[in-house]
Amino acid sequence: MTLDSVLNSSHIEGDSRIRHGPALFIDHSHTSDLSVDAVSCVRCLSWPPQAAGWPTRHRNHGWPDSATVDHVVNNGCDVVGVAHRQCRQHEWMGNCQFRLSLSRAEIVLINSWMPVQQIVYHMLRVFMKTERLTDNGVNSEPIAASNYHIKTLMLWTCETKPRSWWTLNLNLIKICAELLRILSVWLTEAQCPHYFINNCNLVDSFCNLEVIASQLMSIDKTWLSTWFVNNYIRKCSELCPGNVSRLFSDVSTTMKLQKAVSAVVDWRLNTALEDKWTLFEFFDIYMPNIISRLHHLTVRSCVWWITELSKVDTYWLIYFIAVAYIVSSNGFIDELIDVLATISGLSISTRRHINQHSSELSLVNATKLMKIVAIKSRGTVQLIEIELSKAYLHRALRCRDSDSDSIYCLANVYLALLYYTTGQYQSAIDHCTLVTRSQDHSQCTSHVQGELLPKFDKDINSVLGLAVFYQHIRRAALNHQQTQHVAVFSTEMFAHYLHNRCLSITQTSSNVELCGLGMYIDNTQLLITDVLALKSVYHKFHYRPVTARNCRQETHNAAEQNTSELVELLQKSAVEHFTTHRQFQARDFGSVARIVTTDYEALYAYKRGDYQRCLLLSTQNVHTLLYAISLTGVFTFPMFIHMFDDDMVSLIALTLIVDPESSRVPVHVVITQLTLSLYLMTKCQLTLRHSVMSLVQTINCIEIAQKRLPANGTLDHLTLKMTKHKIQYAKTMQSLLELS
Amino acid sequence: VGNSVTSRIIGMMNVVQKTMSLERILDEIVTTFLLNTCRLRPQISKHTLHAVKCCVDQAAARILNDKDADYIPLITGSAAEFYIEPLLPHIGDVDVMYHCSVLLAIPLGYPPPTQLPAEFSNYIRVLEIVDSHLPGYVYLVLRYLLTYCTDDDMYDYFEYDIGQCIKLVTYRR
Repeated sequence: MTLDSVLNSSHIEGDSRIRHGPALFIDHSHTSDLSVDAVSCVRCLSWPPQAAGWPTRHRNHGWPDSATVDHVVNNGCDVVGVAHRQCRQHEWMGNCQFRLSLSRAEIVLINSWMPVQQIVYHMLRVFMKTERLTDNGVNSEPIAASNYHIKTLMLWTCETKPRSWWTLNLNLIKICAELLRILSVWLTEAQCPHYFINNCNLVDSFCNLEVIASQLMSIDKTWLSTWFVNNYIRKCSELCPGNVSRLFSDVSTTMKLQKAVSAVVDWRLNTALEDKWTLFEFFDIYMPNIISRLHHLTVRSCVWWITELSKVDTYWLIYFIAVAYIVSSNGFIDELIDVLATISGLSISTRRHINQHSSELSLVNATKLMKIVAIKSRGTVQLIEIELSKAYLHRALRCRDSDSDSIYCLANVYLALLYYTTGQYQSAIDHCTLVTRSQDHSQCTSHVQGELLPKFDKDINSVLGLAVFYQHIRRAALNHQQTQHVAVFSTEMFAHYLHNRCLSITQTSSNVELCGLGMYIDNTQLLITDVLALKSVYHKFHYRPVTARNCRQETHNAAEQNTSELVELLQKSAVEHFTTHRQFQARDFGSVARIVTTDYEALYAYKRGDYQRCLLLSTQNVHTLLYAISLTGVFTFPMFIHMFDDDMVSLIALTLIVDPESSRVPVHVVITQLTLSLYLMTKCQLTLRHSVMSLVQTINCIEIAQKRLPANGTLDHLTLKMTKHKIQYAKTMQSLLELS
Repeated sequence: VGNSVTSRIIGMMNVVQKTMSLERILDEIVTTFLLNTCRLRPQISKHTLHAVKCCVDQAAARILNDKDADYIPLITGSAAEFYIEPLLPHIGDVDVMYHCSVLLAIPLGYPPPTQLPAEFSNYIRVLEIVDSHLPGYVYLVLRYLLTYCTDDDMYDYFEYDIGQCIKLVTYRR
């Protein structure tokens, strides 16, 4: 691989790509997506010496503050592959020159601006762009100013003007006019100092910017305010409904103008919640579509989603987790273990070349998850974490390097512990047996960590407490300075203990034997915790049964994990997360749309065969939604496809066959909550053999829904039609039976 | 004559006052309009989601001929800079900068780093930033190879004998 290939390759998906200097422009104008300008760069973690003066220079007005300066400096900079305009034709310099980029610094600084400063920046950009005074084309001749000049102007002004300059007797036009005047002076004098880099002038001496400078110089406040009314506010009014935008057809007096502007402002203020709801609905569909269609559920992408969505709202984080769980459950593969562990909050290394599948790393990841689980109450998410811990331990055992006695024994003991925790006692016994059957434990250097043990066993808790107390006594009373970690057990002892513990639950015979403990005591140097635990075992299980036969149970299945449990838990947890998401939606947007919160729960109940529960929830939902004006949707494909029954899957598949674009345009595979509820209600009624009368009532509801739902909801109408046919067919069959 | 001059001046002053008053009204209209229609609360937007999607695309992608190299994206430009949402759409496209996990630049004369964020790979070529004759423009010279040592979680370095200036021929293809 050459450095060139690394620096110049691009992987953003897109149909049409055009190079603009260092940027790769990816045109998405044919879709609803925005176009992308992708720039490859080299990261520099240090603040560049070329800008050494920026952090320390004297500032009179407290912006940026020291915390922001530190933040900016610690971010470092980037180096972008583009030569200076003067050097582009030069054979060597044109090919080897780079430009320092301080985009990271600019983002931090601009984000620290006051709202009024951001508005002024926006106004200047709009004005310059509309008047064609700026040109973003990197390769074009320098006949126009650039957005970078405006950004630089704003940064300097924020630093050199006091806060009161921006806020006292606030007049945005006055501020803009003043800034445009400064810019015209800069361009006239060909002096535009770089905000960060010393002695760097952003205006080349041979740049032909005099025309723009004189244009800017002629701008006064009156002209500018008229310009904004005619070019900005009027354009905004075109985004409003007809009754508002029409007011701008006659603004011959200031009174009429004020009235028209007020109407736009009112409309904007009144539609804030609706706009937010439209966006949220868009994301509801868009996000799963990205994740499931593009198969982008990797540890790295997952970290990205979580980081970016956390900045916005927990609302979206919950939704992402729900989507990730449901997508994972759709086709669980080993690679998804790391993804799910990342979602659980485990920091999975994304470094390359680290052998992600080394037994040691898998064991470490398992113990990290066990530590999380040990301190939490037992909910679906915690059960998922237990299953993930199991998956890591099974992975550790599958690794080529798992032959090490320490890892082998420890992984098996931990697996036994986890199976014991989830009530799978035979599996726990199998794994204990694998440890106790191992002949030589002299190489077992690892111990079972007490902190990983769930608080399931009073005896173990007492043993750990006594051990800590014993250490305290040694240290305090006997003045033993040497400290050792006492809250640990020998792997073999713990395997024996757990084995007997499981047997005490699963066996009922009254034979008196303790599995292998005698041999263990003879051969091993015991830890203080081992002694205490053994005492507890003898005391507790002295009359409990353990037979040699039990110790020789078949263990060939122990090396493989059954992931069906994990898949089931993922679906359950996904439904819980989706329900929480719905509850947030209902809370925040209940005034804009009628939203029920139990649609996913009903779907899940139907899938599990709990028809009574599904019927109850769906019936309630139908009553709530039937006459609602605005409804929200449920994404059917590909995310929830496995939750639906054969009829629905066939219908969705037919839609996709007839119109393959449906899978790409998410809105075509969405049905409303009302349609879903009617469908589930009908299916449950049919399964539970409800009376013809109740089926007739359902048909009435379906007919009402068919009239109310918009005609372009193809899948909605097909589903309702199919549901109606189902009822009619059932009615016919019932009549035939009665006749016969 | 004096009276006519005075009345003319008064007439002109009235015009000026009217103009000033109109100017003030227009200023106020524009200011009030922008303050009330720019939503200041940070909220997720289509642009943010689209930018996230682009970054996720990048984060998930690999450089074809190097299994160890990843793209690490960053949303820049308007999508990252503005926390206001004006009524008039102000984001035309999404700017994404991405750097490669096997390359790192350091200022001239700086020692090679021994610890790096987890986003970097285990083998990294370190390029030294050398000033050009133009402020803000630099050259990159290949200086070190860093190798990650899992034992102590640190990077070891090897120095290249002859610094090789990095070319960017393909940028203008």
